[in-house]
Amino acid sequence: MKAIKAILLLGTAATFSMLLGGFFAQAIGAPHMAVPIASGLFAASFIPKGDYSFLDTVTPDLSKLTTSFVQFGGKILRKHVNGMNLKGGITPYLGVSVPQAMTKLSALGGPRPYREQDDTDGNGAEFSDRTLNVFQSKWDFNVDPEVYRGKYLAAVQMGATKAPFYEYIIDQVGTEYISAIGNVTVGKGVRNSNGSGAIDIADGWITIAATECAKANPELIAKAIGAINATNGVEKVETFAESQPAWWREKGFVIKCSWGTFDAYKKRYRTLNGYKFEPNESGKYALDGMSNVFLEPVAFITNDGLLGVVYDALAYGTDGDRIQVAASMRRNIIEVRLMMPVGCEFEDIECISVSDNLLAA
Amino acid sequence: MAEDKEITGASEVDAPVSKAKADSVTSGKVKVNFGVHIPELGETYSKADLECDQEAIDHLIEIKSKAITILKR
Repeated sequence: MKAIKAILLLGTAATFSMLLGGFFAQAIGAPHMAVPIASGLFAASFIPKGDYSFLDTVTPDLSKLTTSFVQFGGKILRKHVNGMNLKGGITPYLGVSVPQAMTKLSALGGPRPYREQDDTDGNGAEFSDRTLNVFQSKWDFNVDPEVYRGKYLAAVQMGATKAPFYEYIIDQVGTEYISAIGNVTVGKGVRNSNGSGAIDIADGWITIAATECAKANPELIAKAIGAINATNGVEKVETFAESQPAWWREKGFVIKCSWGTFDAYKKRYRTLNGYKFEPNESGKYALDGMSNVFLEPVAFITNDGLLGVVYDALAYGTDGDRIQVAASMRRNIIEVRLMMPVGCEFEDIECISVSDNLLAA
Repeated sequence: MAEDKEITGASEVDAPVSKAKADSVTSGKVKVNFGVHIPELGETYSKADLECDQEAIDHLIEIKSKAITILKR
């Protein structure tokens, strides 16, 4: 009985194979392939039953798709934003996984005229510190690939290579993420864990300075420079520079200001001297007669205040291990969360100087 | 009685400066926000010092300093 059943199954398989083979061969316009296709289908009918679920886990490689659409699109313009400006006066701390003390050593006492007796009272070493804390921040968004598939946004030129559209979107979000931190957080940021904007991520340098001045820290007393405009820009900036301690003057320092203040200085300089304010051979704008004092416009200062820094004492903290792009799929939606810890502090508050108007609310 | 209004923007401060200069900090028309070092006068003032030093306040009003806030009645 089993033999009869096997013969019947074999015959059925052969019959279907010949029929399907003939059909496919006709369909593809190659009747001479009927026998090979039928043979292949007949052989395939002998593949044993088994667990083929592993095939479900194979991720299709769609990377080839991304190159096919870009040819149809024109140039894609991106929103242009500032990057993170970590130039003069800033020291980046890239591995702040726990609050990091920035320890300062000072000598107590001082030299005195020689005499035979011991005079150690009050002499020694003193350590003080300020603590750099970083706070995690995030930017959540979802990408629906079907919105863009088949459109010119499906793939774009990013640098030397073509990138899938979702990578391009994430790259743009990342660029604007950095910009928001560099423009807002590091300046007037005020830490508020329940907040919803870049200004809430961490205390910025201006906020920290305002806090220190409000509690009358004798190591940071604002210089009363007042309002700066195109009729007094040079005089006000020079007054600020000249009011710094001698050790600042010898070491050299950076004065950070808004672009508006920089423009005011430039215009006043031109009016006073009859020629333009030129950078030095390094591209830095040194003040007249102070070749080691540089005026540097930054985006995070938006008023007519001045921020003086010596020894790169503006500490910017982050944690490389916690800078992440977490992406997951929900159906076909790509859920993305960008994360980056941010923190600001002064390494040494004696290396910071502010003008009164920097601290305006 | 009108409430005091804080003038915080530089442009808002421009107009009433000459009038405000005559105001006295002790009369409550100027609020001191924090102490400052005034380079032109060569002096450092705590917040408390400023609150009783009319010359320093006049200077801060003159230069439109944000160390003080002019209260407009």
